[in-house]
Amino acid sequence: MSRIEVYVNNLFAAIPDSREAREMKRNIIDSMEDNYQALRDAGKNENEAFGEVVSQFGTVDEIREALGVQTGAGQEGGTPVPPEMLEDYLVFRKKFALLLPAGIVLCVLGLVVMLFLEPLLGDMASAFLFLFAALGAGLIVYICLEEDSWSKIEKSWKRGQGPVRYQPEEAPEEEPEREVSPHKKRRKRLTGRINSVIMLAATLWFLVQGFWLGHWGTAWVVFPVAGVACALMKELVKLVMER
Amino acid sequence: MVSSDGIRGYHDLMILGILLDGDSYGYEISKEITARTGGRYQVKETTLYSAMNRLEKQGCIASYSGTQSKGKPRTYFTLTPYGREYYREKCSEWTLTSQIVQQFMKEEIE
Repeated sequence: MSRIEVYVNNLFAAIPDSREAREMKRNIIDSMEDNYQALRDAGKNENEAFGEVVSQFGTVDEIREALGVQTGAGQEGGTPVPPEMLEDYLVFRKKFALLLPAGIVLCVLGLVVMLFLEPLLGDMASAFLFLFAALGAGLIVYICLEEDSWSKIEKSWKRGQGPVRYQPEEAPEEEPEREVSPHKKRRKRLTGRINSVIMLAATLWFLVQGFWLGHWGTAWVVFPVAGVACALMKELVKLVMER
Repeated sequence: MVSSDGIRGYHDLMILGILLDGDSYGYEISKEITARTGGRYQVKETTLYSAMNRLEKQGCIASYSGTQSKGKPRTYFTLTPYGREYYREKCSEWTLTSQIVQQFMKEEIE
């Protein structure tokens, strides 16, 4: 399922299933994917294109009106967001508040450590700077990429006065939708984390090989190898989770 | 910025007007709206599809499945004779509305 499909499915989770609703969902997804493709062709990257497409979505209320569905109680103002997405969002916010400063601190720490070790290790001390900076930068990049994905979604929520926890009215219809998403989300998160670890480890290895052994010419091999390792881990995770 | 209240009720006119020139599909229609208005109005996905859903229920447009280059089926919409009539009605309604509002517009305001 594409990111757009997941997003639209989440928003439609609040709407009871019917042939009409499914048709509308299909049409909206197709249209959004056409739009997404056009934006990508125009040179935008994945996150920018996704964000723009999402911001043009509109509100779930319009869909409700069109399908003649009752608006749930307590939905005024807020954009109903499936509880799962809301939880993910809150988790992300906490992560962000932690990792961004941590990344910056690491970079500064690297400099400090280097200065301290200079008298002891001489030139080798700068290796520590690079090590810490690589870790710090890795953290910052990782959390900012995630921030990017959320920022456009946040903006579309703000139009409806912020995300509001959705209270499902008809539990039986909601269950099938929920079963699919948590697995995929958990898998994506796990894969993401494993990939970060692999890439950071590769960077570390590369720097060590370079600074301490001077193997700059051959050490670069670690990166394509890491790339393959990431792909392998992704499949492994899929296999394990499918059990 | 166009207020959504102002433009509400005329989405039908826009969509039917575009279909007058030939059958089309969702994304193309929304692109056409943006293009014809010179970017001054961009219709939301939900608004567009709610309107199209309603128009289909009313019998103003009909949908059919056509293929696109990637082989995936895509829903196309076509104007029905009843749709054409409804379009004409909407056009006169708009002319009347704008004439009425025009009575209250002043060239210069102190």
